[in-house]
Amino acid sequence: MSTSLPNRPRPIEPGVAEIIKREALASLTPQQTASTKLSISPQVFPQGHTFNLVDTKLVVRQNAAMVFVDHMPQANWGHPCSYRFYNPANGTLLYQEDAIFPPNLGGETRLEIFHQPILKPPVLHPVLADLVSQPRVLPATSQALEQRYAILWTSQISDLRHVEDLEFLWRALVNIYGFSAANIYVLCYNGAIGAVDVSGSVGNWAGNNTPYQMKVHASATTANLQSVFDDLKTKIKPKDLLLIHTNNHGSTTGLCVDNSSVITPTQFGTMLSGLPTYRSLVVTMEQCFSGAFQTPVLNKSTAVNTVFASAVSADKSSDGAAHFDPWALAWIEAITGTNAAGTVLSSPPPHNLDGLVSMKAACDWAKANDTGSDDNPQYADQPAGCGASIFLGVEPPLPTQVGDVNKDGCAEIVVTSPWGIGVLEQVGNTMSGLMLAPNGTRFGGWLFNSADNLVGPVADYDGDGAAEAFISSPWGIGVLKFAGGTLTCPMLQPNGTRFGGWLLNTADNTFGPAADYDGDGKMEILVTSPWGIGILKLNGATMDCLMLQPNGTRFGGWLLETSANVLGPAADYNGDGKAEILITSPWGIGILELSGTTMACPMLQPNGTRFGGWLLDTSNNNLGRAGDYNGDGKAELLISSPWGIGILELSGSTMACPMLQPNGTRFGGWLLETSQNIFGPAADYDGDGKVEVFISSAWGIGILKLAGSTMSAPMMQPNGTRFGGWLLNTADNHFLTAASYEGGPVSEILVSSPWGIGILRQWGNTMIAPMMQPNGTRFGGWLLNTADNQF
Amino acid sequence: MLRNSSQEQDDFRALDDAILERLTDKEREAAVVYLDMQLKPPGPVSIASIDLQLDTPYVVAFIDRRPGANWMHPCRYLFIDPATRKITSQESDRPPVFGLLPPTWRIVWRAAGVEDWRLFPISRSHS
Repeated sequence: MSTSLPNRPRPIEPGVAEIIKREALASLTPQQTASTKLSISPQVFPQGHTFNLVDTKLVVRQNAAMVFVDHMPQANWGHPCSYRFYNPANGTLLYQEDAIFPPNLGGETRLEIFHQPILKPPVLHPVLADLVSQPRVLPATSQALEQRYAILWTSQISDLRHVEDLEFLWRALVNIYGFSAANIYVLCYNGAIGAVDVSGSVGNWAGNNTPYQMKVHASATTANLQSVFDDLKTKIKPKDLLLIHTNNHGSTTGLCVDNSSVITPTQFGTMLSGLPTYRSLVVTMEQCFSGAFQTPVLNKSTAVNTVFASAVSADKSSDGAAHFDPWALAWIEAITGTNAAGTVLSSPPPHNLDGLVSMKAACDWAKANDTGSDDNPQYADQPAGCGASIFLGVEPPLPTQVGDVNKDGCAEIVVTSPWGIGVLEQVGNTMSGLMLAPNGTRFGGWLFNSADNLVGPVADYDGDGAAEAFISSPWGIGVLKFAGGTLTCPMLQPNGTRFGGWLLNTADNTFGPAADYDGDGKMEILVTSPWGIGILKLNGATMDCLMLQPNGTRFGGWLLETSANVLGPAADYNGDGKAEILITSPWGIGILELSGTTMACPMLQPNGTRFGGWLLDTSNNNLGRAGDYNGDGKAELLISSPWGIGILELSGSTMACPMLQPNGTRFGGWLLETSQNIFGPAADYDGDGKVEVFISSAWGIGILKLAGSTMSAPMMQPNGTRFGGWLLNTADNHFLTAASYEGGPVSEILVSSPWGIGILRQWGNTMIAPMMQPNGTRFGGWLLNTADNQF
Repeated sequence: MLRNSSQEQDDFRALDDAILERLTDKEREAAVVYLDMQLKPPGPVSIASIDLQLDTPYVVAFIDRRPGANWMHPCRYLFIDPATRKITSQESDRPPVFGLLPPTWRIVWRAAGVEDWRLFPISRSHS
């Protein structure tokens, strides 16, 4: 920007430079001192020297030393600044000129900073500041049925910032997503938390100045990484997820191990290829040239769904920062919703109705918010589009464990814990334990073990008016029925059994949703596998298979592919007394209904279709919370996106959209913002025969009710409100299944917190808590402990 | 060792100009240059990814072209014959060490705007 100096530059005498600095500092007001940056050029500028300041010139009037005053140091150029020229012999001020560009825009004028404002510390959200540092496992995650693994890698030549990223991710996985710490393999440095740019202790974590929490598995060597893969070979199952994150240096030949060896993309692909088949693989890589791993990861993955993301392409170096590498930081912020200090993101990535951020959404957000100017984040998934349906939380969500098991008109809770199983029923302001039994109990032939039994969905499979609990284990499946103060097991069958043509294998079969697909008043259960889809129906001591079809089958126009299709919710969308099921894919959506021994598809539409005003895009639309919102006897669907929300209803061979509203809309007093709102269960909270949807945010909770072409909020209350004795705090309250716990047409919602549990019921524009009890309470013999009870 | 002799320190500082003259415009704009204030004997040289043979005593300078970025990224080394100022330049993609530079190293050029965190930390102890 400026002309070069005609002669060798003459340096300022050190003593004079000190005089000039003192004068420049003294010229600032106290307010300016806190906001202004001062720099000095170490050389004397000759008379006539010209600074080319983009569209103007600044000519030095006489030989002078120069102090550059930046009045807005955190703003992009141009913005107000000043040039103060001094006598190079004695340091007295000669004159000042104002400008809007600096002398070193192209780096041609050397400046030495001698004063700059102190940055203010971030303002922390009072509730969520410790979000990533305190265990706060998301709802519907299971401690007993861990199915998620992670490998976190820094090399033996990593810097502290790389270790800081790993700690942030470890906290996110354990404290938010409920990963078992034992399932996270941290391969770090020399086997301890350390880095090459730190001598001695690493001290506290830079995120919020607290001690490191992550547990290091082993040193970061190729042999140890291979050993982890060998371990996973024996552990990982078809329904599991594996996350691999690398955060360190890389070369054109591979991922750095130490200063003389790398793991090549081919080697890494070979490691991946040694694993058995499992549900989802997510690989995120920060190191230089990390994009080189994309093709081998996608080609060699044995997962049904694979996502790969990296900070840079195969030909670029990745950016670092004083703390945390910028792309990795952004990605971890995306999945946590906060920065490392705990400050809630002002514009977080979109999430699904349960508050979970998909891998696609997280990577998109990281790309948009990566502060590394030289990074060029990469993303790929296989099958294409699958990343929009992969979450770090339990996927699919755990089935409901609530239903009317004793036919008394009230819903009961089938509760499990590391100790065993029980059935809880609301009685007045507490719960009674209708039955409880420890692990090891035989219910008929079923040997119960909560460590590997998955309970639910609870539904009326035999049509007697009482709900039973579907149960699965590595051994097989069963149905548990409450009778005579205990559980019986009218049906249990081991893996390998044929239900009609369906070959039972709980290792790769996924069960649910349960619904009355054939309209006979009894519930059936949907089952999917890598092979295809079926509907199982209880028949005495075994199951029948009403329908089974392999992948590749066309249901009307819908091409079945269970690896890329997401099924549910099931509901009676057309009012014929039978349940249909929603099916979505990266292509679009459809509704399937049982039709003889196959499925029909009365509605299917591709992405890009307009349903009324709603533009369908399954890459960022979330569908769920089915229910009869308008009381017409047919179920509608709630749909949300980064744009806003809508309600879809089946209309012939397409969908209509009787309500859609953008973010920023006020539903009564509730301000819609889908990136901040989590949608709870849809249920009839006011008993008028129509369902409403429960909604929560960092502000509080509400109930939204369809009102013509918009929604109203008949109930909304902020955190800190007392519902009877229950103190609302959405930072640690988990809103669980809605059902009629007290009987009658009105549904209540079950809520748990680190304090205990409660049942909340709408009461005018607020809620009451007909039941609430703290942890430690005995419900009959059941000892309440929300830390490990699964409701 | 040279580092305890002020005269020898001056000798090394006299190399600064020779180094700066060899910087490209881009390096002046963005790079940080480090000099190892040790005179090495002639013979085989092995540093970073570089192996070569030098027939005269030499001093090593290291030019980090993208300070603060993750390794590996473009950098280069200058091998300077202090007697003749003859310089041999070698491209590389990695630093002399990962972590702290030994205390014999010092910075001879720091481009404008390079924040402190982007600099290689230099060990203070002579272990």
